[in-house]
Amino acid sequence: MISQFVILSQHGDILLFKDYRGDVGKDSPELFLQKIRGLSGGLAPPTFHHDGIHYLHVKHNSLYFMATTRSNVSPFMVIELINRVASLCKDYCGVLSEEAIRLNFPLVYEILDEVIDFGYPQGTSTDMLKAYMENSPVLVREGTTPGLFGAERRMVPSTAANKSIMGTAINQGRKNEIFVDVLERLTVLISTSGSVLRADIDGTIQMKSFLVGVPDISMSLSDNLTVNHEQCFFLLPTGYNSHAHIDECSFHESVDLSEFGQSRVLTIHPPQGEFPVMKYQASGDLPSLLPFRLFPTVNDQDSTRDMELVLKVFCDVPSTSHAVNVMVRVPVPKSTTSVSHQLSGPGQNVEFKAQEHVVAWNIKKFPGATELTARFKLAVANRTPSTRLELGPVSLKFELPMYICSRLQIRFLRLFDHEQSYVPYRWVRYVTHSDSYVIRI
Amino acid sequence: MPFFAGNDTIKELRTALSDPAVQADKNRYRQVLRRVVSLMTDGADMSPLFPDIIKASATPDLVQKKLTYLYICNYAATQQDLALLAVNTLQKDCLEPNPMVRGLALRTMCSLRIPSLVEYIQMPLKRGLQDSSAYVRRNAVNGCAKMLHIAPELIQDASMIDQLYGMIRDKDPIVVVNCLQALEEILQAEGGVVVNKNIAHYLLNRVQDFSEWGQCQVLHFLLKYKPAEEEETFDIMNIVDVCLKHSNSGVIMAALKYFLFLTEDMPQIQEQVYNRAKSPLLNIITSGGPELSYVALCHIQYILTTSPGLFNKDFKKFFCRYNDPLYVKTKKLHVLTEMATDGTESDIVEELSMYCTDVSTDLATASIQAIGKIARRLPTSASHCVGTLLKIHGLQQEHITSAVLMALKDLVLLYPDIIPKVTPLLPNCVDLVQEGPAKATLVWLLGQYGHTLPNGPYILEDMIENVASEISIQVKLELLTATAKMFFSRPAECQDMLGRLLEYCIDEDTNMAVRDRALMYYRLLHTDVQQARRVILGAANRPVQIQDSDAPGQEIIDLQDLNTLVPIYGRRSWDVMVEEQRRKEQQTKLTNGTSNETDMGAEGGEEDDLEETISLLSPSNLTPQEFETKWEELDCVTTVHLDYDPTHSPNGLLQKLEGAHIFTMASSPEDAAPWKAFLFAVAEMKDQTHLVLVELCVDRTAATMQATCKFDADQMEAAVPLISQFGRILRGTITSP
Repeated sequence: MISQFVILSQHGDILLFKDYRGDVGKDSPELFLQKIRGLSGGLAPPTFHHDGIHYLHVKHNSLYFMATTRSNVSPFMVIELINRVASLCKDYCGVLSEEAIRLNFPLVYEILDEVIDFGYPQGTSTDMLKAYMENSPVLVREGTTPGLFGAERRMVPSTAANKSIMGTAINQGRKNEIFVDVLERLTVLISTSGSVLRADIDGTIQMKSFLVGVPDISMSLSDNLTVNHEQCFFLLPTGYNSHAHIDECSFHESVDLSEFGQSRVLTIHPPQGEFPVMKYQASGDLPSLLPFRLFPTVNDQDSTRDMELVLKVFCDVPSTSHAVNVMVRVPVPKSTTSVSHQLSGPGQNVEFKAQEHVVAWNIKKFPGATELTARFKLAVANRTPSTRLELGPVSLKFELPMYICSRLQIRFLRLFDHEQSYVPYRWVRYVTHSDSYVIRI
Repeated sequence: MPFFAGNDTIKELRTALSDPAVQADKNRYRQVLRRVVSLMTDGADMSPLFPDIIKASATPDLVQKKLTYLYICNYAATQQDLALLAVNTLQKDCLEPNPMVRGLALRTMCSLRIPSLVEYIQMPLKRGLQDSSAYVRRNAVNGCAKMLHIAPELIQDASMIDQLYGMIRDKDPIVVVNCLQALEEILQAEGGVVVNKNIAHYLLNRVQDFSEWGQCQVLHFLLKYKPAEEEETFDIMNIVDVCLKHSNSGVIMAALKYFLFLTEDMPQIQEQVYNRAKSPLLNIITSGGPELSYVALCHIQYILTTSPGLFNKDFKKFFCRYNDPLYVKTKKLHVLTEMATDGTESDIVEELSMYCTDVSTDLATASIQAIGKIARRLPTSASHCVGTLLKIHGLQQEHITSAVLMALKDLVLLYPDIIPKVTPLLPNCVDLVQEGPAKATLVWLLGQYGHTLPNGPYILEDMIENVASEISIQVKLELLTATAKMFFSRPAECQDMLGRLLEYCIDEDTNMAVRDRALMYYRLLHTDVQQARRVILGAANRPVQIQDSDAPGQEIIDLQDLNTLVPIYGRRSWDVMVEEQRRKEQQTKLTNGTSNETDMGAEGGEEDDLEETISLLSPSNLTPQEFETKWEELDCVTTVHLDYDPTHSPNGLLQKLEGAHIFTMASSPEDAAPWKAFLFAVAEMKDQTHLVLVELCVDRTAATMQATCKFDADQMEAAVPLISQFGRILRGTITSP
């Protein structure tokens, strides 16, 4: 059972403070911040204790969601609970940001009041809670979309879905919409020799429903999808002749799987708000090529001249697709004083972050089946034998709209409504994000 | 950051709250309340507005009501007298037709934490337990748990407990879970809620009804019931199986723990369970956020101590991602270190060596340490690891070289055959390594093995030249020893510099340890050089054993610890923490002289106290004189405050106490005010008897009584359980009907 729940801004302002059990002092946020600041640079673990009090926290969009307790709780449950509260805040406020919480604090207090009582989680489903919510949300102005990192990247950066689930019925003229996002995050590690050490896909099918009423939805996935893992209860004959392939999957509790084995159709009884319909993983042999290949050349033979680095990047997705917001990040030797560069086309720029010893090559839009080259000259103050080793590994950050590495597809999305009185808007989006795409050079 | 709202702000808000124009406009009024609550959250003291807010709470507007209740809960404890005014509205709200209002009022009322309001809460609470709305019942059950700490006699009542047990059969699943939680707290002294076969089967049959949080809790409570037959165990496992596939990691872990618990006596099946657990845990690491990933890694590290080979095939999943936060990366390093086996060692060391050039020096250092640790643990891997370390050493960075030296220092002792590879590196390190511990290591290595280097003595000589500017004491001490050692193997080159060093250390250095060591060496050498050699060089081939503080196999792993905070901190530091906490509590208890019964937390710390039970024995003879002297002597005191029921006569009370083996020494006449009595008892605990003396004072007008207890216990360990147990008996006897 938890004792307090606190939401703190990045700068340490208390945005919300809810005391459930009264057995932890009111100074806990200050103690927490002291500890966090004492261990900067990502060293502060999500759970630590001080003076017999356990502090558990999760950072979402640079907000700290923190819970304190005196008892030996299940850390899994508490962190899941904190995450759930954060996503509820997002469901109700539209976006998750300091401003949104400040504007909607009575609403968030209401949420905390209903979700947790005396430190014990009660109900957290968005539609159940809706019955108890009295405050109406204040919408944050457009254009204040939060940063790109972290959990938020799971959502496609579009403001269409950034509205409160409370607002829909009242403000939007009962507009029926449903968003389905297929999101994949890639973890790739390629060795110096070019061999793939690791390639993992971590995917979710995320649904955000603004539908009036609760119609059942049937969603059909690619019928050539193979799922193989000994722990899945449906086993299909394996083989790589098919196109889409995943190793393992789990489903939300609202999903009925009776037809999944044969026809790959999911029947969903969607709760309101955002929830993951299906989570899946695939690793090892991916059904499609890795989206990027990198050919580095390093020239540091002559120690009297600048170090030269040439990066040639291929985008191996079909020419109909393209990557956006690509960032190639190269750690450079600590003694690098300046970097000059030469690029092969417009729409790109290079930034040298001297403090972090990093060169960032940004590419706004990278069409499929093309290649780009960048030439860097690094002026390094004192060359030692290790200078070369300090270069790299290169990491890529990118977003591939409408492209999915596992080739999983949604064939159709049908709504079963008894009255058939409306035609809902259905939005299906695909996106692949880099999670950790690293190439050693 | 707290800031203090000035009087002006409060005045302004008060005017706004009482302004009829504002009161008439629902939205404006809400705005004012929002401002109050917002300032309160910021840490400003809004308590002067208490009466105004209470007035505002009597409103049909739910938004307004919720805001005011939020305020009242926050300040009720500091405004106990005024809180009574709020109760009126709250009581009325408990009778509202709208179940939401009833539930809200009940929840607020029970959260006030004011003992004097108990009598007003009693009725609504009992009504709430039988309410037709599940929402109200949920809040009422939680209310019972809340009231436990304020009015234990009201809640620890047989009929109340029976009612709660009955409500486990409620049709609303949240009510069921709340009941279990409440009973667990109420019956804590007796070991918590009882889960018998009937209840267990009932819960298992409904396991799908519960919310994910409910499932977490129910699976936890099911640990209290162990099925008798194997067949039943398998049936249960079939039912719970579905929880292992849940998307909430809390449910997965709770289910996993339950499985492991069920198969405790079936090692083969338990192994299957472990295998089963692998993929959910790995999935949490790859796809949960970094926080969950960290918690899962801690658990994997914990499990590895008993099943070291479990994750062997999946070691690549533990490789760091560049965007992992540092705490995850460091944890992954630990896990990788511990899971390295002969088959995977080379890949893991290869991967670890990649982290040495990481921007974060902490990670770089940790990865080098990890390689050293693997080399120590797996003798077969030593030569590969050392080769890697030597290669890394070529990077010529201070933090890297320092870490490599420290890792090699342990390895040269374990594997003497690597010495010839290590010594040639030492001269290069001298300019690079500046920081205390690393430099001390370098000096030690030079002293031990430097005599084979042609310029060995001269490296030391340079350091001796600069010894005056050396700040680290550790380095100076090592330098003394190293020079002395070097002197025995190459006396001609070293005699002069040793003399200078000793002279400096004896005459000029201010540190006692340095001076002492220098003096000792000087005298040893002065008396007998051969003896000095024996003392300073020591035996050539000492057996070496290096123990890592966090090495596997040293911690006892207990299934009970899974899915708790223990694996996160490690068993040992957990024990230290619990012990520290307990000591602190004892101290506060003893210094305050009162046993703080309403202390709500620290369930963990008190468990042990309960194991030591005391029993009160039949009387031994105690004369009033002895009583008096003892009363003066004893200094271990606690005071227990109790409510006095005026319908009971004081003599009846004494009779009751006598029945519980607490005997009267003397008492005032029946109608005296204040009425006093002196009591004594003999308590037996762990085969020792302790005398307990009590002075009981009854204040009839305030309907309270106060018992000052003195204990004949000179040891702290004995005193604490004695105090708490005796307090419980006294309280129990007096409040029993």
